[in-house]
Amino acid sequence: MGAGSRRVTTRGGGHQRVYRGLLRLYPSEFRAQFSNEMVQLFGDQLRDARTRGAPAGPAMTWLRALGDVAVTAASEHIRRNRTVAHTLAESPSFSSRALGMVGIAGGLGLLAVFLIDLSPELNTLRLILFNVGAMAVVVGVHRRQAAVAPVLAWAAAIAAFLANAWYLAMIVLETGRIDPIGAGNFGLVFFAAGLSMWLADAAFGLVALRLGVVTRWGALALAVGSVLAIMGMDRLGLTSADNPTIFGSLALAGIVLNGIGWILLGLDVATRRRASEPKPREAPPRE
Amino acid sequence: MHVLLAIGPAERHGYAIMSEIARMTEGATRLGPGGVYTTIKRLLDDGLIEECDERPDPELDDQRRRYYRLTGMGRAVAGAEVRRLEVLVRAARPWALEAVE
Repeated sequence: MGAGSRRVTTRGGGHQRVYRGLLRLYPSEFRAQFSNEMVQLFGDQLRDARTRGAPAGPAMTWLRALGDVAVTAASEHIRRNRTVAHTLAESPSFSSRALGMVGIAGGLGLLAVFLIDLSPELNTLRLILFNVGAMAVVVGVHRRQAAVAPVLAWAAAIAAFLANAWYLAMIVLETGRIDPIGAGNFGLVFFAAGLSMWLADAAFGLVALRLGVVTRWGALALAVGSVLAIMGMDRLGLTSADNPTIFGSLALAGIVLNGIGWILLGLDVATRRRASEPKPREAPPRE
Repeated sequence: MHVLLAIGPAERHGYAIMSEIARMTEGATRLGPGGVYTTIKRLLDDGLIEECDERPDPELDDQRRRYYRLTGMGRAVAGAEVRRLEVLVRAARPWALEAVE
């Protein structure tokens, strides 16, 4: 295991737990790298203050720590934003462009299913395009987010990718009239695939919103749209465009928002460079 | 610069770096955990320091801590900065200290 990935485990009292809570003010990637050591160092400072025996020692240590966190957390955020902005100013790679374009096509495909009245056969093709596009955007967005908060980014991306892949598989199986469970049109399995897809898409949108390295409007549209889409789910996990109930209308609006979300995220992936690519650096000479 | 000089030729962890800075500056500069680790991050990003894979003397080692040392580039930068400051101090010494006293 590389030294950089070694995790330091610290146990501490109430002071250190409160201090660890304060560290949430730092950018998540900084926190992931240094929070354990910072908590340990703060504990060392408290121990030194108590050892010196000054009555106000721990209080002074806390005062200094509060000032230290306020100043350095702000500076670290500014520095991170500058770095991300600088990196994003460069052109995206070919693969990012391709992923983004497929995502845009997928979002348009989803909108077309509900906004343009075409034959059911074409709807199936457009739903397949939608799922493939969503999976492409998940990969494109994940490549940026993984550098910022690896655990959260991986969890959200895997869930969204697998859920969309599952729904895609159901669409394909439905098209071929293959029914391995003998429950006409897959019944509950199809419903579960749709529900998983909307929930995973909503979670993916929320994570993207939280991490803030892709367009917030796209992430917000995806998260809100996916939640709304659940409200009018039929046995295929979607909603009917001619459902007259309020749930049907909200779900339809949600699906449209979901499609817009994928389009905006696809545009972002296709037109801005990902921030996760490390700056090339020559290995410094060792004496 | 303080962190670079505090690490010096040794391998040091955060607490040792913080203590060394306080000692070097006779208490005039006291960094907190945020100051120490945001600086360490920048120096790591710039390739001036690196994390040690090997552990130092086992008797002095604390397994929970990460140790850092200067890279060749870090030593070169620290040396150049010390030389620059030395020239400045030498030029100012005849009169600047009298002004303070």
